[in-house]
Amino acid sequence: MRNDTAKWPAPAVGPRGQVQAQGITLDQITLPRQVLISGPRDAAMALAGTTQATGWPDVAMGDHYALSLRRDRILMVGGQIDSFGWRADVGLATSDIGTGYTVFSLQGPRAEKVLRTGTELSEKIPSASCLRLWNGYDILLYRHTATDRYLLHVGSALAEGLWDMLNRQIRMVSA
Amino acid sequence: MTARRIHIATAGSKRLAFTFDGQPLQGVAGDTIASALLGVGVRIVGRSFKYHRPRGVWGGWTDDPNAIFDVSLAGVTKPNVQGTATLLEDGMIVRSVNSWPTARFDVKAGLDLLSPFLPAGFYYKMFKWPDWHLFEPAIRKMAGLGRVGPDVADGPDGLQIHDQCDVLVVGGGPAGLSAARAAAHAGQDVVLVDDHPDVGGSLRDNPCQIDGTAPAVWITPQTDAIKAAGGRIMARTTAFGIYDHSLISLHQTAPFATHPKLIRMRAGRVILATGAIDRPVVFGNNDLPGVMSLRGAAAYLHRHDVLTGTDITLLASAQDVAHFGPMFERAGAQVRVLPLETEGLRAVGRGKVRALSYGTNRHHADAVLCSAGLSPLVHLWCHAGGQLEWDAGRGAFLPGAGPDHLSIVGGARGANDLDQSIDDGHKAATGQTPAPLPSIAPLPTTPKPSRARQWIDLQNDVTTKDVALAAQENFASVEHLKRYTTLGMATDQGKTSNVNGLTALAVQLGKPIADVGTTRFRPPYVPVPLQLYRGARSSTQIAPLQRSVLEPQIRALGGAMAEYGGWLRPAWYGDDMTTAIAQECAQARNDVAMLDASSLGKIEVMGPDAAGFLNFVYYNSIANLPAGKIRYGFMLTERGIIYDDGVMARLDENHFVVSCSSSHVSGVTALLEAWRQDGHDPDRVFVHNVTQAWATVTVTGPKARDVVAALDLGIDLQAEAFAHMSLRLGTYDGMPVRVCRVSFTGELSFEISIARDSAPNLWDHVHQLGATPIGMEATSILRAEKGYIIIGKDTDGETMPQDLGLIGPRDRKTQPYVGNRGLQTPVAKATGRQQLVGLAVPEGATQLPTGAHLTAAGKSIGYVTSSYLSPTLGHPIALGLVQDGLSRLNADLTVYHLGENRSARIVPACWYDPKGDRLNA
Amino acid sequence: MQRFPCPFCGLRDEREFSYVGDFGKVRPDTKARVSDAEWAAYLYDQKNPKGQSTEIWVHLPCQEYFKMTRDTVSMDVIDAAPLRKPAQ
Repeated sequence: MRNDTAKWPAPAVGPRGQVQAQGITLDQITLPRQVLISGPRDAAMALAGTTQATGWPDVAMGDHYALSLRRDRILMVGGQIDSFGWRADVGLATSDIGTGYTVFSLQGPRAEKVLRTGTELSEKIPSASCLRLWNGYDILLYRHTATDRYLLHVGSALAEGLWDMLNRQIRMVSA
Repeated sequence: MTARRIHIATAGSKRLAFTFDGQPLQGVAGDTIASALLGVGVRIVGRSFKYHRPRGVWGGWTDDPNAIFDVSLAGVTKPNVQGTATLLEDGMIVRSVNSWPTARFDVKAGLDLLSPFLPAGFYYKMFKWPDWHLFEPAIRKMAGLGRVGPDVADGPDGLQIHDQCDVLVVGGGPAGLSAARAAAHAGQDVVLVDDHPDVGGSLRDNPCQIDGTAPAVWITPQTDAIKAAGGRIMARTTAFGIYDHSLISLHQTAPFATHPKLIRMRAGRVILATGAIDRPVVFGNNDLPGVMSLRGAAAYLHRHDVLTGTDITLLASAQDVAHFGPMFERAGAQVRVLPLETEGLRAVGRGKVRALSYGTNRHHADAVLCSAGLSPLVHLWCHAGGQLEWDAGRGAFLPGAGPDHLSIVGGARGANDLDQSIDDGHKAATGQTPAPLPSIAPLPTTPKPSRARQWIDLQNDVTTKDVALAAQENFASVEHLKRYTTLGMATDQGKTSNVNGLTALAVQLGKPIADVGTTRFRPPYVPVPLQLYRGARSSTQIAPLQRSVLEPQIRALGGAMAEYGGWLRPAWYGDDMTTAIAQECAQARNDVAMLDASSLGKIEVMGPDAAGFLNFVYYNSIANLPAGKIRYGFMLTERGIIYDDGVMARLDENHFVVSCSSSHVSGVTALLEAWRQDGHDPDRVFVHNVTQAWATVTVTGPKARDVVAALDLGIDLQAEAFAHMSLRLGTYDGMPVRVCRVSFTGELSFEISIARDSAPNLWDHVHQLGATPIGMEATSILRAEKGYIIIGKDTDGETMPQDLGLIGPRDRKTQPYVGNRGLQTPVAKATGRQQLVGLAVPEGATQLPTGAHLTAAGKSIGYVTSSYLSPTLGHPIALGLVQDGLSRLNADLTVYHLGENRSARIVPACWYDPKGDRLNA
Repeated sequence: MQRFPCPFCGLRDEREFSYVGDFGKVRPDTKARVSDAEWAAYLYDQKNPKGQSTEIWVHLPCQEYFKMTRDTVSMDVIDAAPLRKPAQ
């Protein structure tokens, strides 16, 4: 039986510290609430209390917004929902994700170049969904507040891997 | 005399120090490794692949098959670097390949004396008997080019970037510059790439007046205009492959020791202006150093001030002689001319050419500059699916029909006139049809008979005789010729050898070259570092593991981490594996233990059709499961094979949580989603994988209830109120928890799931209450003592539920479900299926090896799937799949492993608490 | 590397997609009589045409199963359409 403890560096405890390179700032951020809502889009938006579901290259604003994931699914960020599970009244399935997604922000004039290492990203190719595969990782990718500020949500079990991959790419892009 | 630097333009340039095979040398800024070696008179740069013949520089750029080096700089080593196209950097350590100790004094040079005995296919014929594998290690050691060690395999990560443009122009010569300028002028988003450090292409190799001015004066306004119109120009960038949907791979050669960079360019249109290279002239001993490409020699002269000889013989067409001859004369060389059709020509010299002999004539020569015509560089055209057509006049394959988004212009389509190239570029960029090429009279292409060896492939030592032998032995298709003789293999991919090889084959077969055809060009066009393909996926990024939120707690307790089903989990706690595992088992059996079960799947299935949906997807009946209860079940494939096992908990009428194996979370989620969208109403059932939102702490052991009671979850934990296989909701420290009474250890267990970020507090609390953390190894033993299976370990790609004795749903479930028809196929009903059983060893025997064959009458009838020394029982236990095992209880089998036979007896697959009293406690 | 149009997400590269099967295969009613030959054909027979092929694909990030018609020689994508009614 092999002991691989040394091969895998110990994960961060608490939020990871800021990483800065030329034209790039990487942070871990905490969002107030993340809730998966599945079902008809209009009903889901009404439950989430939002009017627009962010896709690509939309820019989400504020601390309460909805991300468009699938034909019949959004992720509500911020906002308030009291009970989870099957909501028969509105025909929606809801699950509190809590910190199941870890969120990183990548900001700066060269942030887009870092993102282009992992996916064919372009403003010329819009998308109704912010789900994509980035350097092999399943993530949610969208812009928030500014056109050069990108938020990445990743399943928390792979957050350590994505953080390392982002750092590797930042090092190479700014070399 | 030999090659030397004539200091005209490079005088005053920065000097660069490097070593070649240990010898300190100097080049100047702007040099390639090859130009630097030629500049200081090095003739022999390597040894050939098979005969270890001395090899000199042939070409001026990527068309060179000989100058291949292992290069180190600043701790980075790259094997098989193409010296003619790699810029020299200060401090480079350059080693010739396939030679020892140096290229000049190679101890294996004597192999050449054996060449009459080493014809094409020699290795195939000679070492076939008795067994190729006997000879392979020695032959492999002797063959091959560069050296690859662990340092080479690692190297710096590759930077991979995606990009896009409207028009990509490949090649910055006159045709490419013209195309890029016209496309940019038309408002297109243009990218122009050239693999040289500057654009200009043939204008810089071979300067001639253009539009009445010097080339350098013409180039600058073109690049200025391209940039002014928003075009991008990327120098030192090689387009090495065109792939589906117009994706072009660009290798940007940054400074040697930095990250290699790959640009995946998605281009609306591609204009190939890749130019053409000299075709070698095939004559006797034409592999001697000093025999060079005419245009290569011109490039060394004009780009690097290196004159490749002082007594030069030109072996080229009259047109080339008229064009190039005066250039070398002006540089101070004596120039002689021999016509291409010269009979009986052979080079004379040892290690380098000293003279040429033909008939009774002989004259001195220290360089023979050759061109049998031009071979257009059509590789990328072929990658994209473009066709080739043989042009007898040019003795070359020219582009024929091709895909709509691709154009090919200038020398790459057979034009060798400057005005036509510029016109081509402009027309391609503006959507006009190119002017037809003038037909030209054929040059002599057939090698003349010679007693000396005539080389076709300089890198792989293929001669005209090898081609003749291949044809004689009926390797007459070009693709067979290539594999049999290795013609056009290895790093240069036939750039110089292709046409001459086909010509020789055509002569042998008595067919026109057009009927012989050509092999197919495939990416990469030039050798590229493997790091380009792997990008940043090295070490922990090759297969990144999932990490539990409890990992810091586990590490602090001394967890020895290892991979289990794609997660990093503790194998055991503490330093000594064997004692730790035994103690952990004992704690769980006798006291109370805890483990991190966060990786187990938690997939919520919701909606009015959820129950019916799960009833269809799972083998076991789910529809009748009451709220608050849990059921164990299998997910089958349609063939009836067990894909996963797990437990389903029903929270309420319309809400289930499916808990699957850690390694199958994505797979089970995907399968649920697939069936949801196929055959079910996707508005009435939804699947949320929330595995990572929750963490799970499992408390197990006879004293588990006391520990959980102390957590104050607000749940009645008594067996009558909270039975095995049921679920209760509670709170811990104000946070909702889901508590499941399921057990993988066979002991009383509570699986407590809580929001991920609250889990560390819960874990610490359980630990303070006296539970001992246990790792995956102890857990695996505990479950094996109970006969609980691990899917994919105790089952394989043939195992069906009945092979585990679970036939109830197959025989009684009335609704259709995934796999139900598969369980009724002849193979499912056949006798002789491998079934899971327990295996006991004789008193005092040691544990069986996992994977050992179970045999009867000398035949393998199954194998050991799990095997442990049980600390609880004090003797070995094992599980195995064996033919008809369930009906062969108490039968004795022979266990075969690595040449040894042992015995084992089939027993029921449960050694501990078979009635489940402890489980239900 | 090919690019496929997910009917919901739009154009993405092939790393995000997986082939599912021929379009038009319907799971037999397994509670009715299904001969071994019919069942084997359902499980294993694929048309694998040279030229135009209509298939089911899935866009992995958004899990959209959709119908795509493409040319297996030229690799051109001819059409992609959702299997479901449009988002409400």
